[in-house]
Amino acid sequence: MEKNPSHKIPEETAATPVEINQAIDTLRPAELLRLKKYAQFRIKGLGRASQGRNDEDLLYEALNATLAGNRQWNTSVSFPVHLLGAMRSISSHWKEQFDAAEALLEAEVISTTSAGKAYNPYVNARSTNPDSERMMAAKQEVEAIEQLLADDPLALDIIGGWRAEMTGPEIQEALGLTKTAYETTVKRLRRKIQSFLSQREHGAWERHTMTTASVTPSMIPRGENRV
Amino acid sequence: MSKQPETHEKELRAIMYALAESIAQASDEEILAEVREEGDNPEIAAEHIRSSLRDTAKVYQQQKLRAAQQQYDARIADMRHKEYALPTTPEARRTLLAAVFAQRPEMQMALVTAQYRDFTNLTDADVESQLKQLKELGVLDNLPTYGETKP
Repeated sequence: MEKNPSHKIPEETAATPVEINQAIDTLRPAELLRLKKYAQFRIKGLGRASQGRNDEDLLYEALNATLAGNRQWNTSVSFPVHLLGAMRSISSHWKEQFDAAEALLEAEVISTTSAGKAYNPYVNARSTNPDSERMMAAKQEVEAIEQLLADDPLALDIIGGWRAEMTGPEIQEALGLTKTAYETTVKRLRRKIQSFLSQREHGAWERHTMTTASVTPSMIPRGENRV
Repeated sequence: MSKQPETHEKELRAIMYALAESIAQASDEEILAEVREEGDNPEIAAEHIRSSLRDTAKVYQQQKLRAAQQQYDARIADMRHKEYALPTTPEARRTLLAAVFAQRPEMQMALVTAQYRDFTNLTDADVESQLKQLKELGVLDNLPTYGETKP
């Protein structure tokens, strides 16, 4: 794996707009698809923090930031690696911005009762808040993934490690796996999850949920009739 | 005890981010095979992404050009309305411009197209405009001749 691109780099190693255009023209199909898939997973991971942005928004933001020089492409790393790094950083920044805005909003509405007790309407109104619906959807998504991998205990163990925010090497060590065994299992579970997400995007979600889980409105893709 | 809803979001994010990093590490062959498994043609899907990236770059560059053009137009408009301490008569201004170009021939190359290099074809307005541009560039301020010709 190439080293991660830095945010600010010496002027002489920063790519010009012409070089960026040329790089777009010479990206291999797999590189383009990798960028798209990477963006999809990052957006999916952002959840509510994506605030309606999709994978294309993330990829275009990375490109625009590169063209504008806000995230300079150091040509000592490949263009796809630079864009992956930019997307990683931008999506993390979106998450931080969302958390900060949410914390500010919550701080503004927290009041103190006459008994001197802090009253937070967000906590009290959780059952009816649209955001709480989306938060519960996250729970159901995790459960759906677990159900999907129910016949693959090793994949479930790896998912468990990720949920606990363990790194790949930490999971390998904890499970006594070789790097190859870990990577093979990750590849297998990624394919299953991608296929599951893809089917859902293509409208097969309802059919799938009839046999695997109960349907919740927030899990149905936008634009489709809700149950 | 059941987990807070935020915990589920955090866990889902950790899973999705880990999957993203696994895609970053995946080989070209794996990625192409996965796209085929999803029922898409990798070549067509990839060209669609490339085309969108090209469009994004084009829009960005056009916006940048438009912004530069607007900035240039605003500067020219500003120059038209700005008062410059230039010689008051057309003859004196023409003399000054000739003197500047004699001392700084590179400026003549930069500002005046070949057909106007003999000066006779330049209108009085052209001469005044050239002097204003030279003033904006700070060329007149550093010219001993200008001090002598100043009105």
